[in-house]
Amino acid sequence: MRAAAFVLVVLPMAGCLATQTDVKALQADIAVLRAESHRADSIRAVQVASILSGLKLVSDTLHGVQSRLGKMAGDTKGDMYAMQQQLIQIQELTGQSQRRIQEMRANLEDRAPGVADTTRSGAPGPNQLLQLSLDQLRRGSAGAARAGFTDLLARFAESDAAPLAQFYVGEAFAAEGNTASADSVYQLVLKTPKSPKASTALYKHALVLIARGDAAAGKAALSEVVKQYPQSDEAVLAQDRLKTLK
Amino acid sequence: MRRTFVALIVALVAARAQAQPGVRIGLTYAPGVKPGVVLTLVGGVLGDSASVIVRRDLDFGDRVTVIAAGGTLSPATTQGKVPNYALLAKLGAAGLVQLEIANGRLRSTVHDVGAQRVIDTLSVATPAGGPTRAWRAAVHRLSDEVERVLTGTAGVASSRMAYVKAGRTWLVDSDGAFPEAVSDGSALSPAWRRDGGALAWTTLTSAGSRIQIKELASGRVQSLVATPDGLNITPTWTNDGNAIVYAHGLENGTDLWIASVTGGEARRVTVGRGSDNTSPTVSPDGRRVAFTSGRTGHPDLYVADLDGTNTDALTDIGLDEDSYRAGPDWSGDGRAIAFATRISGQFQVAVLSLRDRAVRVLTSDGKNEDPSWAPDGRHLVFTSTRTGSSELWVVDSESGRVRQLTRDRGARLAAWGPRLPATP
Repeated sequence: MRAAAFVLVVLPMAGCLATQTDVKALQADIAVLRAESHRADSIRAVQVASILSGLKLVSDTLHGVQSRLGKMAGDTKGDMYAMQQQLIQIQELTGQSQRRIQEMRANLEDRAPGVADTTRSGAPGPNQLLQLSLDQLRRGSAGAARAGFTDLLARFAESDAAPLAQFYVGEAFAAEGNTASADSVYQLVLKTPKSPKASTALYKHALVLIARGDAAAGKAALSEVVKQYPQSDEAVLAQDRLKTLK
Repeated sequence: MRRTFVALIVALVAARAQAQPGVRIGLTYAPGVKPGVVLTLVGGVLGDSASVIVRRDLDFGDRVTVIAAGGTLSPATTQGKVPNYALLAKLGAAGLVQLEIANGRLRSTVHDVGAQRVIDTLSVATPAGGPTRAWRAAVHRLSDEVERVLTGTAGVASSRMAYVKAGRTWLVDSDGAFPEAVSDGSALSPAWRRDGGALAWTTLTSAGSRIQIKELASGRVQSLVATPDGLNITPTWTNDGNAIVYAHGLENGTDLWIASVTGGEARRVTVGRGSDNTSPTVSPDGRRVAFTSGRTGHPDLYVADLDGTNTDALTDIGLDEDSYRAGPDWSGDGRAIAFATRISGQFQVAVLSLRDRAVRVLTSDGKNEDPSWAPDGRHLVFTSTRTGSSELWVVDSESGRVRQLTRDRGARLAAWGPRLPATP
């Protein structure tokens, strides 16, 4: 019994009876292991930092590219807007010039009536007649204006001023409150699709149809404005009307 | 039948030839001359007030010259007695206006001095209680009628102006009396409905700017909600009072739109393609609209049909950097458009004749802008800094005579309203 107890106590202790050298070796091993682990961590940290740095660089580059793209898009948009505005300005100035030319033609005919009017010496030429009639229309004398436009059409049917005179006969009727006659004239203008007032005449015809309560025909006419004269102001107005028309 | 017609024509021509020496409307006077008018004073406190108001109204009308007769002529021109026409004629008077207050009414007897006869008698009810705003309004209405009898054109004394001061909209009588605020919060660019019963203006909210309408009799305020977002500014009424034309802007420019005051969707009027189009004014026939547009790079005046077609420049487009024309207002007779134009870096009020497109500049002293026509198509109210601060002034577009309307620093953006309707 005593022997068994001795064995039980001593045997476990036998494993702990390592020499001091063994312990030192073990400690050295542990230190080496720690150092290696630390070195591995450092290397990994450096690698991670390197990767992060690389990622940051890529991100910065991407950000830079994005900024430049944004700026380029903005510049392009700005340039496009500026170009659009310049185009509008040119269109307006061209319109102004055309009006000036019309007035100058009228003045020229006024000073040299025989040159412009080969049918009746001293009588006003087509441009002068157009200008005088337009002035009457602006003053509110629609009847006198209409008489002038009609005279122009009778005497100078082939002149450049004739399509405008045709349209303004309709405008004179409209100013007098005679919508039915005005609409008839607008439809006559549409038979000359190259008339500078064709898009306006078609749009006004559409408005007359809508006012009469014929929404379907009005919509069809508005769609024609958009289709036939997509660059005109009337196309924009027609698109807006089509959105709200029931 | 034909002979009768010819005889009638000959008689008319002969009558016309006899009338050649002068213009005959109410009085006989030479064309281009302001006829002299003597105004008799009526007694009492209210009488003095009434005669002072009528005298000033006739003076502000710029169509007659009120001759200062004082009390010396009163015995000779007392109501009910035969006036001393010979004496009045020697003083240069073509007309005599006798005023009398009796039985709650202000009466005037208008004489043609040359013809030595009464040409009209006029009368208005005067509210009891002394010179209140209503009492003064009644006297102004009589002044307008006296001017109509004397010259053929009614005066504008009974009209009022709306204007902006310190962000609120105010009303003031045509002679500068009785200013009163009619908006609670911010209110800009007031515009009168043609009957004078309502105003529209721009109000600023956290969501942007909106158009508000105020019925003056009931005080009811409503918002125009057709375009709730973005910019909604510079309203004006259509002639029937059923719709408002205004400038509506989002990111891509500002265009004119028209919306019914009773609701429904708004409709585009201008196609500015990114430019700014503002400050509409509707023509008296209701068919056209003039407005300011920056489509050529500088603000300029344009006109278009109210359906959006036939857009045209009103003036030669200015190409120099200084060019700036804005704030048009169409005269009630349809003959002219007033606007502000920049001259040598300073804004001035000018008038464009629609007959020949000629432009006349009416001001030169200080900064002058925001003109608005009186109902007579002759006078204009405008904002001027000529006294050092922003005030309202009135100019006679024919003679160029100016008078200061407000003495209330910061008054601007005036809109001249219609003549007030007569009370029964």
